[in-house]
Amino acid sequence: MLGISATAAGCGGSSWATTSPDTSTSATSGTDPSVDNPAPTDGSAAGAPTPTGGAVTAAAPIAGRNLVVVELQGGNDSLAMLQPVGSGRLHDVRPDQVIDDEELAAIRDGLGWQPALAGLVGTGVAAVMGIGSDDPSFSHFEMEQRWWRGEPGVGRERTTGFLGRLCDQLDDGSPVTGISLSGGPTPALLSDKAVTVGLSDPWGGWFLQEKDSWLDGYRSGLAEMASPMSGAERDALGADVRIARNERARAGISNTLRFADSLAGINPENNDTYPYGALAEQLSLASQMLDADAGLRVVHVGLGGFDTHSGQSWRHPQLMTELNDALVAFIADLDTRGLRESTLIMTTSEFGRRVPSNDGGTDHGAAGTSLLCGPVNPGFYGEMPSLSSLDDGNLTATMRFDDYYATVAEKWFGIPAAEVLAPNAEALDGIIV
Amino acid sequence: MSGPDAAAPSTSLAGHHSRRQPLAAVGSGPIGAQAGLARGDKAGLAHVLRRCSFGPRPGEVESFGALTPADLVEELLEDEGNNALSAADAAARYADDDLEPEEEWLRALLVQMMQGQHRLHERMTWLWHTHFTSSLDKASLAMMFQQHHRIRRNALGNFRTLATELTTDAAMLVWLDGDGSTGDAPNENYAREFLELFVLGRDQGYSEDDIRVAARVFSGWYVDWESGEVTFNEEAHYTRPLTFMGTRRRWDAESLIAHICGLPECHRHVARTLHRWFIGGDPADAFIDELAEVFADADLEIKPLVAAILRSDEFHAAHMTRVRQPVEWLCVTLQALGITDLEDAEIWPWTLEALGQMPFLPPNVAGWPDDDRWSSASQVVARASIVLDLELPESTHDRVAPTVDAVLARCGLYDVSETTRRALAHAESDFGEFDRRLELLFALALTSPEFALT
Repeated sequence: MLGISATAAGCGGSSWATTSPDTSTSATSGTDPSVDNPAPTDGSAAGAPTPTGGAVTAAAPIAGRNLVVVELQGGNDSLAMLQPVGSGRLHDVRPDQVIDDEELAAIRDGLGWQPALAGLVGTGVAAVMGIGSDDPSFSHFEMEQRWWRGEPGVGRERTTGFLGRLCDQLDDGSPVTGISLSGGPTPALLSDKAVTVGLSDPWGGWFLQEKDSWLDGYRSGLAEMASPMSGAERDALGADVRIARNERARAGISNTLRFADSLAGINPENNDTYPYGALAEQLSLASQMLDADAGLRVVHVGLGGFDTHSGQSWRHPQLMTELNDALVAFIADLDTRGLRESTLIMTTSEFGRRVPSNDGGTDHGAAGTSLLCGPVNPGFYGEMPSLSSLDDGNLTATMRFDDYYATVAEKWFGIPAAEVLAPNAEALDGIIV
Repeated sequence: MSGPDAAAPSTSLAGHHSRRQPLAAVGSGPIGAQAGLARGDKAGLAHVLRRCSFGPRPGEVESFGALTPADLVEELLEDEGNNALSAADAAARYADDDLEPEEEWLRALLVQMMQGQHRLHERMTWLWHTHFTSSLDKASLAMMFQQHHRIRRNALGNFRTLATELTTDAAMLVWLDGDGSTGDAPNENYAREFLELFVLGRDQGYSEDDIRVAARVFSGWYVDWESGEVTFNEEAHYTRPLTFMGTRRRWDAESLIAHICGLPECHRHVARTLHRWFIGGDPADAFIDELAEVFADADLEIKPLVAAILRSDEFHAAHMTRVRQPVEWLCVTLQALGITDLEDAEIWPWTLEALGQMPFLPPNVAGWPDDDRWSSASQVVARASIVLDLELPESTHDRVAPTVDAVLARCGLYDVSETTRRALAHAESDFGEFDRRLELLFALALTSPEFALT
C-alpha cells in the first residue's frame, strides 16, 4: 500500500513524492485524484487507495475522544483552498489568484481543491463552507476574539474560550485537559475549572523534566510551596479574597507539576516521520501527548502567515503545502498509535478573504471554509456563498461559526451545544462518522 | 482592640465623615483597621510600594523603615514630579514601524518602570495605558509613543484633559477606526468603546442612538500615516445639533467629552476603575459614591481621587488580594536579581509575549484581564522558564546572603505563609553549595505563590 504507514516509517518525505498527485495529469502514481473522497461505507474505493488506507468509518467511543484544533492565523483565503470549478467570475475578479480548472485536485460537485492539499483530501476531509459571523468585522483582533470566545456577535459576554468551555465539560480531574502548543496560552482555552496550559514553544517546560540535582531541589521546593493550606495559615490570611488568591496561586504550581508528571517522556525531537516546519513540530508533540493517555483531550496548534495582502500566489500554495504535509504526517502518526478513530482535527481561521484580488493579494474578508479531518464523512457541507452577489466584494456567510462549533461539541463530544455556545447554535448532521 | 468590622468614622479627603464599613472582603484577620498605622511595618510598606510602583526595589522597604505605611503614602503623593521618557524617546526616533525583536524601546520602557524617580506617576502612566488602550497591531510605534507621551503628561493630571487628548490622538484614531470617520457615515467603534470602557461603563443610561450621536460628534479627524500628524476636516464633521442622553446641542468632540465627564456615571466609573487597580475586589457602593464625589469636587483631577483611595482603610487592608500581572512581575523579578542590563539578560519582546502581556499590544480594546490566569499553570511554566534562564549577577552574590530572610526581603516579601517559608528553609539547609544555594532560593521565591500576588 502506498503512503505512510508503520512500514514506511523513516521514509516520510519520499513516500509523499509518490503519492502526491502530479498537478498536470491525474492518476500517475496509484492515487487517482479525480476519485477522491470515497464514499465512507466502502472504506476505500476500488482503485483509489488513500494514503492511510481509507477514510475512517467508525469513530471511537465518546469517552476517549480528542480534538486537535489547527488555527490558520491571519485569515485563510479559502477560495484559494477550495474553489468553485468553471467560475468566470473568479477569473474576472482575481485573475492572478484563481487556480486553473485543470490544476484543481479531487474535483467533485463543482468544487476543486488547491492541488497541494490532495494528500490530505485523500485521507478523508469534510469541508464546511460559508462559515462566518453576524456583522463581520475586518479586524484580525476582533474576529480572532470572537472565534476564541465562540461568540459570533458583536457583544463581549464571555470570559472563557470555546475550547476552554469544552475542556470544562471534559474535565475529569486530570492534570491537563487542554493545551496550546502554538506560542503561549490562547484565549480560546480559557476555562472556568479545567486545567489548560499554553506552552510558548515545544521546549517550554524543559525544567520540569530535565534530570539535574539542582532542578530536583527546585522541583521539590515547588511541590512543597504548592501544598494545601493549613487551618493556621487560613486564619493568618483572614480575608476570603486573600485565601482564594493564595489557593489559586498554589493550584497553579501544583497543576504545573502534575502536568509535568503526566507528560514525562515526551520528546520534542521525536519527529522523524514529519516534514520540517513549525506546524509539524507542534503536531508531532501533540500526538505524543495524546498518546500519553494522561487525560489531555484538546490540543490547539497554529500556522501563521495567512494574512496574504501581497505575494499570495506563491505564499498561499506554500502554506497549503505546509498544512497538507504536516497534517498527513500527523494523521499517519495517529494511525500508528491507534488514535485515528478517536481524534478529530478541525481548522479555524478568523475570516476568509475578499473575492477580488488587490495588488498581488487579497484583503480581509468575511465568510470562509473550514476543514474537519479524521472520523468524518468526506464531502462538502454547508453552502458555498454566492460569488455573484457579493457584499462589497465579500462573501456572505451561509452559516455562523458557532454552528460549526456546535457540530464539534454535540456530534463529536456529545456535549449539548447550549452548554458551551449560544442557545441558537445548531450542529450540522452527517459530518461526524 | 478595634477590629476592622467596627464602623470607625473616618475623614475622607472631601472632609466627609463616613461611617461606612471598611471593605468587607478584606475586613477580618490581623490586617484591619489599624493597618497603615504601624511604624516600620515592613509588610505594610511593601504593600504600598507594590501597589503604587513597580517595586518594592531591593532595600527600599528598609530605607523607609521609620515610616508608617500611611506616612509612605503621603510621601508618594507629595511627589509632584513626572518622569520624563528619555531613553525610550531616543529609541522611538530611530525605530521603524516593524516590531523587530531587537527593539530597544521595550527595554527602555521597562527600565523606566524600574528606575523612574517618580513612582506613583510611573504606575499611573502604565495603568492608563491598560485602560485607554491602543495597539501596535494597528498603530505605528511612533504613534504609540506619541500617545504614551500624552498619557505620561496627564497621568496624574486631569481626567477630562486626558480623555479629550486621547480622542484625537493618532494611535487611538487608528486603533478604534476614528481615522477618516465622516459625519455622514461615522464609524461607531471609538464612540462605543469610549462610552462602554473608557468613560462611563456598560449600561449606564446611554442608548445605541447615543452611541451613534457620539460617533458623529467624533468624526472629521484624519491621520497621516507617514508623519503621524492629525488633522481635522470641518467638511467631514457633522455640524447639525444632536441630542445626546437627553441634551440637545451643536456638539464638537471637546464639548461632548466635557459633558460626559460631568455625569455622575463617569465619576463612579473612574472611581471603580482606580479602586480595582489599587484595592481590588468588590467595592461597597457607598465607598464608590464617596470617591466619585471627591473626583467630581476636584473637577476630575486624578490625584485627589488616587489620594482618597490610598488614604483609606480599605487600601491598607488589601494586602495580597490581587494577582501580579506579567509586566509588573518581570520588573520586580529583574530588580530582585539585580539585573540592570536587559539586553545582556536577553529580555526580548517575546519574553513578555510568552508571559502574555506585551506593552503596546493589549489583547483587545478591553486591555488585559485582571484575574487568576496570571497565577495559572501556564503562567507558572512561563515565569519559571524565564527565571531559570536568568543569570545572577556577581554583585547580587556579593550583596545578598544565601538565607531565606535575605532573599525574601530582597524580593519584597515580608509576610509569607509557613508553607513557603518551610520550602525555602529546606532549600537553604539541604543545598550545600553556596552559590547555587542563593540561586535556588531566588528561583523558589520568585515562583512562590506570594510573589505571584500583590
